[in-house]
Amino acid sequence: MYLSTRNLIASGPNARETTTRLPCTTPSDRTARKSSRRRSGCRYVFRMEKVKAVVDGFTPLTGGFVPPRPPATPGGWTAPSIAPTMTVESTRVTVDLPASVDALDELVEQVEGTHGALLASVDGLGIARSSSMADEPSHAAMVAAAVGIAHQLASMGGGRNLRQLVVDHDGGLMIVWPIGSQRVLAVLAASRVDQRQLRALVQRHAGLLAGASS
Amino acid sequence: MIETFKILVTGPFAAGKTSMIQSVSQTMVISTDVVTSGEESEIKSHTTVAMDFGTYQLDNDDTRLLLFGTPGQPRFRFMTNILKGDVDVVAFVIDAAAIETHAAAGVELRALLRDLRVPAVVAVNRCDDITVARRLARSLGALDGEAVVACQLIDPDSGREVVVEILLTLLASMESTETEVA
Repeated sequence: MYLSTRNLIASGPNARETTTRLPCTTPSDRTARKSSRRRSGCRYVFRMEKVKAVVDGFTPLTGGFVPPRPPATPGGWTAPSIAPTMTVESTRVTVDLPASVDALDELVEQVEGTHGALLASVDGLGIARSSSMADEPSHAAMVAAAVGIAHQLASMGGGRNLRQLVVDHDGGLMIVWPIGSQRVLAVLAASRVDQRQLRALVQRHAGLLAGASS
Repeated sequence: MIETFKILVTGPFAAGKTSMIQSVSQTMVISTDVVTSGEESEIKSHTTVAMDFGTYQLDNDDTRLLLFGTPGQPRFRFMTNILKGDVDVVAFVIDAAAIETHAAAGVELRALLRDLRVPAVVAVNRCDDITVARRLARSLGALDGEAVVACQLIDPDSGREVVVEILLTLLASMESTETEVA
């Protein structure tokens, strides 16, 4: 098995590959290699300059080295889509944080088995949380990252809209909904929670939680 | 059999990580771009919240790079921790013009290299002068031997130059390992 730079030097007057073909290593060798790499820094600078001189011998990089253009829409998901169940009519955003906090507290109080709710922007900033939740900035970031991945998983599964993300663990459930196109809501609940009731209540507050002016 | 290498593409917010992966990947990029909010929306409209994933394979060769891009903001540090396992090369992207990001980026780069013990390629974005790029990379804590590329990642050809440096770095690190073994 070899790694070679022959694609880099496949054309032009300096085309050659014999000196740059090197055996690749097995996975176990790779582990050993990683720990020893930085110790041998000086030597590999020298070698790299040599290889680079070969590469620099012609311009531009042509032949096999031109990658095809990637598709225009990455992964089929460039902007978060609005979940059909939590649709918000207006997209005009206003800040009404106390109302959001009240809505989240109401949710936690009214739905039995619910013990926390966190509203975050899709880019991972906390917007509001129920009084029962700790102020931990990474929580909002984790929820946003998980939703980001979940959108991709939905498209891997052939879907177009993410409806909800459920983390089912030994301590209960975390259910996450996209709220409009720019926010996500995470609710912490016991496994026995009435998800239908929870969902209905979230739907009722969706406009407020999305920050849309009504 | 295809030899696969894992490349961690990281660096501060708005440095050009996603642009680089988008411009060089030969497969559809798995991206988690969302709209930004708050102060960050003044800098750019979209940001990565979990990861970008792209691939690059040399034609007629058994070498494939898997490019894992991280988010840039400190609040997403946990994603870098998830993605950094078994990395072969760190591609550290930095915006030469965003001077206010440099100090924190240096701390991050040094910690990452100490932790991973793999070579790095420092891609200095929005920079045309390799001397300036080298000086910046040095100030961030890159070692003398670390590869530095002055690039304009808005231009896809520039992204390929970073890939060339990554390949050269892989080659060089294997060469040095081979010498040690021999």
